[in-house]
Amino acid sequence: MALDSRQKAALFAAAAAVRLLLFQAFPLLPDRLAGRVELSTPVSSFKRLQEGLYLYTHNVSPYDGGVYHHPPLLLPLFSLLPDASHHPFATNLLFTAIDLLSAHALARIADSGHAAATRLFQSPRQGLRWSTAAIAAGFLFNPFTLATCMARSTTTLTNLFILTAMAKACQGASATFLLAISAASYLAMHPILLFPPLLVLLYHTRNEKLQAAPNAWAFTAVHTLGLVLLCGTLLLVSAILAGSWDFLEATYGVRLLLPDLTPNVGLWWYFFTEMFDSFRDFFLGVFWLHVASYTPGLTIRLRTQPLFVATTLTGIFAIFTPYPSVADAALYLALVPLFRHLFPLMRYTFVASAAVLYASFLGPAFYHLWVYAGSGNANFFYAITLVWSLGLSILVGDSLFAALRDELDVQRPELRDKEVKRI
Amino acid sequence: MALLATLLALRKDARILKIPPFLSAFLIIVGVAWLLVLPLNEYSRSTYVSENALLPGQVHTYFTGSEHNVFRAYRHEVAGLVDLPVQQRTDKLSELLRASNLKVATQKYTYTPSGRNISDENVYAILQGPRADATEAIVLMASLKTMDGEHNYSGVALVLALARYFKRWSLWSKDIIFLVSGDSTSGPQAWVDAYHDAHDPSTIESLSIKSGALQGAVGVEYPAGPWGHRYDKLHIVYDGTNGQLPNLDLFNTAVNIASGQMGIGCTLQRMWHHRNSYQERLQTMLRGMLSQGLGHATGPHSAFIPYHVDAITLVTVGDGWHDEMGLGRTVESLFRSLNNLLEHLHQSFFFYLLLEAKRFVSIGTYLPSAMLIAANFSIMAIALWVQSGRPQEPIPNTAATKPAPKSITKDAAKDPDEKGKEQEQEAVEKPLEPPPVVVTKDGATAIIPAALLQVSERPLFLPAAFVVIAHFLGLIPLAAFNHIPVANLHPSFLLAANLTTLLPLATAYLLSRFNRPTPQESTLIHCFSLLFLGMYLSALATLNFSQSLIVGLLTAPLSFVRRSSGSRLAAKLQFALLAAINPVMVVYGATYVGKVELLHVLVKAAEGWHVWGMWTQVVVWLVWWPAWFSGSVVVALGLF
Amino acid sequence: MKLSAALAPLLLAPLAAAEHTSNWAVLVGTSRFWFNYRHLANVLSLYRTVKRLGIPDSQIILMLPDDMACNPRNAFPGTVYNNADRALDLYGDNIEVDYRGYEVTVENFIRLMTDRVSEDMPRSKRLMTDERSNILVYMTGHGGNEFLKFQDAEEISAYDLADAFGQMWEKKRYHEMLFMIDTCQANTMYSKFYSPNILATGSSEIDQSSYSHHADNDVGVAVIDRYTYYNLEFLERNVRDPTSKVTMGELFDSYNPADMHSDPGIRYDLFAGGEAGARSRLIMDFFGNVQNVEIDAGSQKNETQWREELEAIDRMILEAKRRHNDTLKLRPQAQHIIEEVAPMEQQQSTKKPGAVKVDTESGWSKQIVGAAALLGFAGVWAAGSWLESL
Repeated sequence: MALDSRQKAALFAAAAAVRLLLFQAFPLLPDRLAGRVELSTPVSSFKRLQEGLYLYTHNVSPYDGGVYHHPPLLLPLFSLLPDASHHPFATNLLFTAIDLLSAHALARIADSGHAAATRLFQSPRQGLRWSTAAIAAGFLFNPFTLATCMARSTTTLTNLFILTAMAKACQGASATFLLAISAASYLAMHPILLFPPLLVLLYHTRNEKLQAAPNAWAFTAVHTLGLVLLCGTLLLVSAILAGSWDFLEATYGVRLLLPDLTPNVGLWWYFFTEMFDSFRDFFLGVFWLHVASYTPGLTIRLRTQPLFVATTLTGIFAIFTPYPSVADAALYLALVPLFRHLFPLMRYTFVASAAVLYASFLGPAFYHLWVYAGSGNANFFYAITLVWSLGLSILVGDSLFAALRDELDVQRPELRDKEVKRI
Repeated sequence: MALLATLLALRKDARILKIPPFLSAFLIIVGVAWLLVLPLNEYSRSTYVSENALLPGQVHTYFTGSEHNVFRAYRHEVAGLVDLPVQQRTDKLSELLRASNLKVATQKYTYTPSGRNISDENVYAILQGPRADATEAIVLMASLKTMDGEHNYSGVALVLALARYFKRWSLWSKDIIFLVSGDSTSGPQAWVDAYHDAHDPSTIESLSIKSGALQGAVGVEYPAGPWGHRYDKLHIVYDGTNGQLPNLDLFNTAVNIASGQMGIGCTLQRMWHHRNSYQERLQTMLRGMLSQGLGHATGPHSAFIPYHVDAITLVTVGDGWHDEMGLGRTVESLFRSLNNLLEHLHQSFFFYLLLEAKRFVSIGTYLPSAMLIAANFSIMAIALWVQSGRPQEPIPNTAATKPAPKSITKDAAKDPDEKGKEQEQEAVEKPLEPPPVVVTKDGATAIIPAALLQVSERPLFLPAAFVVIAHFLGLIPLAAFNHIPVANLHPSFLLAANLTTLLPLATAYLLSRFNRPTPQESTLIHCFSLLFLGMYLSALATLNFSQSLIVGLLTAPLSFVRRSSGSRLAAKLQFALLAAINPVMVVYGATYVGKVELLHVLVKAAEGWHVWGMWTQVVVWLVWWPAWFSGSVVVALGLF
Repeated sequence: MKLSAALAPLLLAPLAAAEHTSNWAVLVGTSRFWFNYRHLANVLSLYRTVKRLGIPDSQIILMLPDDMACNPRNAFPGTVYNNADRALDLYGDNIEVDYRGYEVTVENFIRLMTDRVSEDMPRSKRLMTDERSNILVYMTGHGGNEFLKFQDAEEISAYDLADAFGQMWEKKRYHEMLFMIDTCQANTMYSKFYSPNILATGSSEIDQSSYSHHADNDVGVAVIDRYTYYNLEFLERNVRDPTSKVTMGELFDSYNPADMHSDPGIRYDLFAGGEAGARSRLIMDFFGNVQNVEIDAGSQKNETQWREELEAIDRMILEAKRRHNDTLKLRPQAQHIIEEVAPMEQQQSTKKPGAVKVDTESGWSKQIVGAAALLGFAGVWAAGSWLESL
């Protein structure tokens, strides 16, 4: 069900048209969306990027104001574009292009068919899948993706590199995979946790491509070294650009230590506003350990389905990282349809989608009550972010269950269609 | 999870599909019944002042004696200036305020909603608290015209007299701003917008002097002429724009002072004679809900509330024995209470329904009624979704649950006798559906966005596109009614009434020419529109409870109409019912019943959009109308 | 053994009951904000009374968390009244507040009582009592079951208070103590006391509120609480001068729950001699200053010591003056040197000495860097793709 070029051109043209039309028809909308806490976090906000850009073009260190937390390399890139507050068109075009490229990468992943069938694992339901066009359209016309694009959150860029890394891993393209994953890690740090499962995926695809198994240890060593080298190079270039290594504290330091407790859709900010200072470091450690612990666990358990592991990890990032936004959820929701064959095994999709939908309407309403009307308080909004996270985590948990059930059908065919209970 | 599993097991049962209409109707009935019991003593509470700092009525008031003569002199001055040209009037008012040793400034403003020109000038003066730090301020205001369009002689005179009187006290901990606005709603709106720098400087002048953060505002309307008039009661008006309410503590303080300290009766929502019976309580509550649901500005205070400044307006009503000094002393005591405040009124007292001046229902008690009505739509949406997926698949049997062969037989056995009319009709369509190769499995719960295109068993593209387009269509009348000049408003309304009634018919006819949508698709259109409606209404219930409830009740029939397959008569009846609850027709009918001029409503609505920042039309055209339109098209499809 | 144990109190009694040699008063208001005017008026009323009966300011610790006299809402600036007749301005002249505003905290109160203070704490903020001192502790504010709120953020519990008094006894910081408290559920506050020689009384029982007596409608707030009001009334009426022989028992008997709208409580069991002992104590033992001063023998010897100390202090002052003058001479020179040398270096070492006007980069260097970075990445990407296609 590969995407033919005419269909693809039509789809991408429609998606681009919708975006540019929205940008043109509602010129105030992008700035308004960029100010929404659901879409823009301190580490991805376009407004902060503009602030950093201003300082940068005025020869002041962008990290001096304590506002800018994006990595430094974004600055020279965005300085190529005309000032977004007066001539937004080029910026709009760029973000539209980022979305289209992401969709392109997503289409590549769907085309590869690695979601349902890998070298070591053939799902018994692998015939059940959606067409590439549907999956790409699902990403491009998802309101969450649209809103993220309109808000010009830099998470879109991270998402692009994550999707590209997955696509390259599916294609068995080592060099570009390494480039993409290191770019994603450079931009947002946590995507580095996707490296192990995607490396396994790459190993499988290389194996298929070369018709011979490369030495696993050498393979791992070479690629890990490549990743370290590439990330190191990016950081080094950044350090040269920023003039010192101080940027590390303002970018990755902020992501790690959570000094900015601006509300977002995640679970961390409220917890840490209530935290006694003496426990802060301990819980930061625990929370991060929790996020990181999924990678090895899932990679080992589901080593035959590495793409599913990577997808599940993006879902976990959308829930458990310190500064998640709707953009992260959009990435996860873009990847989930790849696993159409698991849907019959999932049991709580309606509950999950209802929770996510209701949260996305009630969230802004409660935020309004808290911040503007003054008749609510922070607990209102936090309650809704809890529902949001609950919805996503039900989806993650349920899809995990479905994947394991699917695996069981292969290992124990006699159990197929029998009822199982989670104990 | 165990509960969920039980529910999931239940959904395999075909009988489950028969329940939702009854459940929906039950929820609506319970929701309405819920409202009706609220006025009972068991469900409402007596009001109390929750903020310790207010100390209402604990001060002696001294606005009396010789101040009475000062007041009368001011009243004659005001009577002389109301008919002067704006510039002279402003100069005169400024002079009067300046004579009391206050800092005075003016503000010109111009609004042009629906081709009308609303322009006037505000005059305001700031009394700086002698020992205060100028970080907070409270506002006393009177507009030259009352909400009913009368001259507010005594109200303005009272503000002038109190300005002079307050200036002599040294105990103000906040600045006091005295505002005399040109008219009762747009004047305060222009002023408060400019105070918070949220105005358009090209049409509204910026304020030349300001004070600290506003903590409260009190408006006075006392339309007694130069020879005075003794009144019976104080009517306390408290609704803000978009149905946002001031903190109940402010209302309670005013009632406490007026009735407790001054002996002036208080009334609300135009209930002039309230004997505290069940009917009157219910009537007060319903009037309050209607006013809240309309979301309009009800007085000079309304503009303040969206800025989180608690505000009320005191209006004198009736013939009685209370004189202007009583009102003056009430305001004095109220300002002494506000002066005691240490922080913004913050107790959780922003959501309430008042039954009379001293009895209220709090949000926890009344919210379920609106939520139940919103939930009815969600339940029907789910039911329609399940139904849309049912006919062409043997059984929604997941691989993880039951062996397939057994369930097929079971379902086949149940199919004919257990399903309603709608399903029978769809059963006829069954052979037309694609072969069951693709549709062996249940995807009944895949509402993930990726499903927006036609993919497998459910043709989602047309329904989703239809519902989205219906919502965008609503933008056209929204824009039109906010920009059409006054002269054309009435004809355009009649045009809209005709068009909106015919549009579903035309759409259904056109669609049926292409043999689309299929019954399954029309069920999905219905499902999506109800799903969106339910979601909007539950979100709206948290922002404007009454509006959500009113729209919910008026759209309730949408849950029960169906595309009829058999009898044309059923379709015609259903369509006639829907035509009657067309939003445009409802507005028309409401003006007829309420004896309000339709043009007045339309003009005020446009003014609300441009001046007050009112969102009611958005709800009407982008929530209510698309839901109605989708439902009507589904019904009209049965006609062709 | 048994006999001696039983006899011990009797034997010790004369010693224990030996006269105290000083009187101290700790008067604490714990609430701030205008609407709590009455709590500060309560404390100031007690302050007036103990001063009237002879305790000097140096032996009164007055804790006032807010300044009602200077509140802008006060219609009578600079005054605090405890009665609507406004006959007596409590604030008047000659008032010494030792802890004010945000200094009134639970920690400071407990440190004061147990004397765990730093060396440089001024004498006026210390409770310099010993085992021969009688202390009156009066507290008022908003409280509940076994706690008393301090300001808005913290509270002291009955256990904290009991432990503080226990420690005071261990450290021999009091001889006898009268504890009075006027707050809601006040009697719970002294229920946990365990150290001896404390006579405690409070305004209301558990689950009872304490009420204000009356409001002054020109000030606009309640001005005094009932319990305090009736205590004061008794003291004003019956204890007119420091020679008064009125006993505590008479004061307690005057308490009328109907007047107070709450049930005042008294706890005798810790006091030496129990109820009878406590009731026979003179009011002046706690509210007035001690009359009988014991004079040490051998005062001659002391005089020389005293002179020596005075001379030593003189020498210290001279030395401090000399050092001060030296620094005056030295400092300008040192500064002068720094000024000459440092700025040169600073200008070179730090990039941003302060606020500077910034301008947009006129050239295209930023854009070139950006383009280079972009091209570099694209180049590496292309190279990677080429490698893969091999």
